[in-house]
Amino acid sequence: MSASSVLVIGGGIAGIQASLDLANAGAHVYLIEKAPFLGGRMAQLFKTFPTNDCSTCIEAPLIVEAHRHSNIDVLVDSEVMTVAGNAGNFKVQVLKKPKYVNDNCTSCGDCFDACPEAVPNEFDVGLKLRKAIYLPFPQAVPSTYTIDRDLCLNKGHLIACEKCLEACEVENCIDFEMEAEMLDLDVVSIIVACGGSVLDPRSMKNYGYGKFENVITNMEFERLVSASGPTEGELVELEGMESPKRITFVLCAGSRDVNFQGYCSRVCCMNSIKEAILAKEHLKDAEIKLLYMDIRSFGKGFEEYYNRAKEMGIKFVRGKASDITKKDEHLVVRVENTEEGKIEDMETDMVVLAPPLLPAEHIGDLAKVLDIKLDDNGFFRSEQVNVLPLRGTKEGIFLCGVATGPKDIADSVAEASGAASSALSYVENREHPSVEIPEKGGEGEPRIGVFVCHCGNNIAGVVDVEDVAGYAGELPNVVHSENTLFACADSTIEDIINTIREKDLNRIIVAACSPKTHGDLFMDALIEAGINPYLFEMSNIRNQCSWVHSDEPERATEKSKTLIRMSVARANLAEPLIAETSSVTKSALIVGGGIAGLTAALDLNAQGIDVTLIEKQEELGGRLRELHKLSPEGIEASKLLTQKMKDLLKSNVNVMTSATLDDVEGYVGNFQVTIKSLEGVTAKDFGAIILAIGAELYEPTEFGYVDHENVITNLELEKMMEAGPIEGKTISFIQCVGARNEEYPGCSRYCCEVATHQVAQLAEKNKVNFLYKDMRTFGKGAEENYKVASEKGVRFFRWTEQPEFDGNEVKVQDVFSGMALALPTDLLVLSVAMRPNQETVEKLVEVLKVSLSEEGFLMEKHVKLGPVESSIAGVFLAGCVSGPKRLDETVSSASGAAAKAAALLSKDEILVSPIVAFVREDNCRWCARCSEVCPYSAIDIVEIEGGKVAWVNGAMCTGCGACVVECPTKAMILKGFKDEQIEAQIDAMMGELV
Amino acid sequence: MSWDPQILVFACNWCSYGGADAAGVSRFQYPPDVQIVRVMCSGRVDPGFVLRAFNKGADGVLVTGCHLGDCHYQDGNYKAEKRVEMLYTLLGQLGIQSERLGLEWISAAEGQRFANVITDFVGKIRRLGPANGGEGP
Repeated sequence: MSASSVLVIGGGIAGIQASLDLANAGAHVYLIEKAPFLGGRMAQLFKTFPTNDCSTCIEAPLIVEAHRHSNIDVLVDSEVMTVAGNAGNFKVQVLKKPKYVNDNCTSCGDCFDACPEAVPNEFDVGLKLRKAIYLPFPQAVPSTYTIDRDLCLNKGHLIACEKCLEACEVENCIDFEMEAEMLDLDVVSIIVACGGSVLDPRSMKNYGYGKFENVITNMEFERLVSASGPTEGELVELEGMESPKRITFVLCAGSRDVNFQGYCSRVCCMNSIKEAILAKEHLKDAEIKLLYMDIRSFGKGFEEYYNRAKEMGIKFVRGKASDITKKDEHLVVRVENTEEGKIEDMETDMVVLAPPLLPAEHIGDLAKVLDIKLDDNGFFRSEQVNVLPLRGTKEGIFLCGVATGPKDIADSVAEASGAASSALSYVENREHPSVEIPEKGGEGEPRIGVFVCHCGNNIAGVVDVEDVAGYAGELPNVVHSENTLFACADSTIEDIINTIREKDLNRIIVAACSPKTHGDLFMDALIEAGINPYLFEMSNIRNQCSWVHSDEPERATEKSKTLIRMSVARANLAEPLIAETSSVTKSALIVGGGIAGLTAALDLNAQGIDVTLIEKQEELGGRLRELHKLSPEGIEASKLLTQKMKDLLKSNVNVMTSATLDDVEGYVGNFQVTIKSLEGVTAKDFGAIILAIGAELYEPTEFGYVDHENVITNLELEKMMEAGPIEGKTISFIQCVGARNEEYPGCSRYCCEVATHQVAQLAEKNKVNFLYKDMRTFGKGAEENYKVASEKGVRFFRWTEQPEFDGNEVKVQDVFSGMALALPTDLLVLSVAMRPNQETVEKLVEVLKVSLSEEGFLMEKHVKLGPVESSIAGVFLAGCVSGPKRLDETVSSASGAAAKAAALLSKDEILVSPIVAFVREDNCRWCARCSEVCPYSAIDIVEIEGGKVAWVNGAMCTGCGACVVECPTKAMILKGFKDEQIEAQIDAMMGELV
Repeated sequence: MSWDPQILVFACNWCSYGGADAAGVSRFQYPPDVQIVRVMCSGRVDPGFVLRAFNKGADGVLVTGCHLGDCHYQDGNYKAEKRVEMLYTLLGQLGIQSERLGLEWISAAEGQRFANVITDFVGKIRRLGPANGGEGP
């Protein structure tokens, strides 16, 4: 029986991630994208915050994986027309528009050169031209060209322009007769990942966009600085094409604005800081200003990024730009500087607007087709905003990413995995593609192919890649060498596969970026070409040459040659390796019984997976038990928790309270865990572990919390509010207590929203003062609550110098008025920071070897694209264990972690890395030094005919190689890292290549 | 005559190689006199590799791995530490200045540290001059 299908609408990063999680868990996926390519808005970005990772570099591998996955059918140029039926049995009609070019296309571009018609390219936000037949951008997937028939002269055969057809040398490629197809799909559940749109800044007349050429949007800026953009990364003014000397970034250009969008668009602060940093890096002497209302750098590592921007000399001016005019040759931005209390006219050469994120175009039509509801802002409505954020208002339909509101990449990705987890509960039949790893390639003389990547101009901007490719071509055993714009592009992968077949290559070297990020992608290409994937080598000439020696292009080029020479030396001695398989224990352990743990447990249980949940306290429910009413809608926390507990009672989840993790042995798929509880010590095997240990709240020592009884924390206030009404008091709130300071720079993310919701409730019957640094009400409905609080008379004061409290009065230097104020206060509420759960975290580091970030939270596999995976395979992160989160984010990440665990546990066996130790029995003298140094007890001394010999358990060996170094008779070898290979690399570095 | 040292850096897959990647991502600059050989663990670095590099004319060798306590393989970096200490004695006996061999711990998050460590080590080797005692700086 074939696998049940899930429909994913939208091929941006959220849709791609959801599709991969579904497909890796054995579901079949139809991934529908309206545009002719996958990747969405992330593909248009140059860099991502806060790591300044190249956006394409980190997204491309996922795009390629989705496109190549045998469980995923990618349908581009497609739209959902009708949906009938119900959860478990939806009937979907999809209209697939014709490309007029079929899959025979080799993306050679001959047609593009021949086409006479040109228009501005949408991908480059109109800054570059495209033809009627085109590929939106060089690394687009699929890499088949498309004809825009509205532009094509051959429309309706009025003019018989067939220039593209004449130029095309491929048989049966361009086909003007191609017609639209209506596809009927049967799916069990649906994920909506349709993304959003951006307000056309022309509608904001005061900013002069469209009137002044040098007023541009952030996306236009992104394309301008992008290596693959219209100016190849040269930052120039559109008018005059000179480098600007002054650039002004205007934030909240239409967001948090009564005239346009009342809500916060959530990504613009960080995105603008990133762009300001890029501008400063491009133009060191330029004056870069950023006009803002509040800096909302609330994510992990964001505050540090913001601080770095300030250190670089980027000027932050607190105030919203009111209008932009032109005087002589320059632009003038008018702004009310709220810190200095004056109206300023700032001269500048270029303005970059951050316009609001809006719901996707035609979202109303899609809502009708799906029969689900929209919220007040026109985004898709969640079934319940706090604990069911990913459920649409109809059963079986799930939401993720910007479909429900503005969101950054990491949050969208976590939600995408979460939506996949929910959608999987309807998937009854699962199938995993069986991949045969070819053994071929080791026989005969090495025939090496070298592919040198430009990485746009990330490498080629510094390293002379043509020279390097030419040099590589001359090295012994190299029979093919070429340079390519993007080695990871689908078209290049195809080229590598074809070249392997045509030239009978048996070793491949890609000189590009890091094997840690891109190795798997190329190894898959070798598999597809029919040769063993371990005959692959990578030379990291981007991270180790062009990026770090950018001022010394000649030496960077020479070093690139040396790195390739060393790779050739290694490749010469490479052997085909076959991965062994390891069985998977089909059960999951969840550590922590708060809302994150409960959500993950119920998600996995819904998929029929055996789940054990341990909680160190006597009762389940975690922090939610201590909360009263939840932002933004005021629903009672106890109600939501009661519902979860009811669901838990109906489930088969094995719950252990007063229980803690004692020890963990083993590895992904096979963890042997001992759990301590009141009943003693229990040992059980699990295939996956989800960590949902939550976080702690900071215990304040400042503001007289220890000495004065009228100083309480925000959590203590929740209990007080639950106990009964608070009336007739003067209450002051202080934000950022224990956060955003030198000791602890990170923002705790939850507290502005919680506090504004608290004061909105208190303000009717009390006098309320609110002392804050930046107002970070970015969550759904939070900005609206902030507004309600203002309307109810809450007085807001902004501080940079820490206020003081003597038991009666709060003394604060108010930034707005510039005055030193003394605010009489009956009750002082401290909004306290979220800190890592230190004791438990230390235990996790000890038994699981997980990595920590500087603040002591668990480190994610990748801050942008791996938010729910830990640094250890098979161990996943749910909720605040990886950093402060709001409730809906906690729940989404918990579901996301469940999806990752489900994918692992849906498999009967997983492939174990073949990079393991191996014994040359003839050399072994069974001295047992190898087994003594092995940290995993993977080596035993066994009896054989005529003596004894060391024996390696391949499933337990992790390939560290300690035993190899220890062996006195060179009997031990590490596959993939043989002594001979490393020695050859050393020799090659010194110039010797045999 | 200008002289550029030839320095071999062993980097473990999990920490210091990641640190080198992170240095790249953040564009932290360092001198191009180093070549990285990736190994799974610093505990994989055979003393023979270090001797071979010096024998072939390398001016310096730097072994890098996870911080002590952070080893992906529990204690591979402790093994590396012991072997490097043993090598210090051996290098002296062979007439190679022991400062030419270095050992540093760098995590995958420490891009800045990676660049600093390399810059300092290259500076040290430049001050020492060529290992073969030939033309100096």
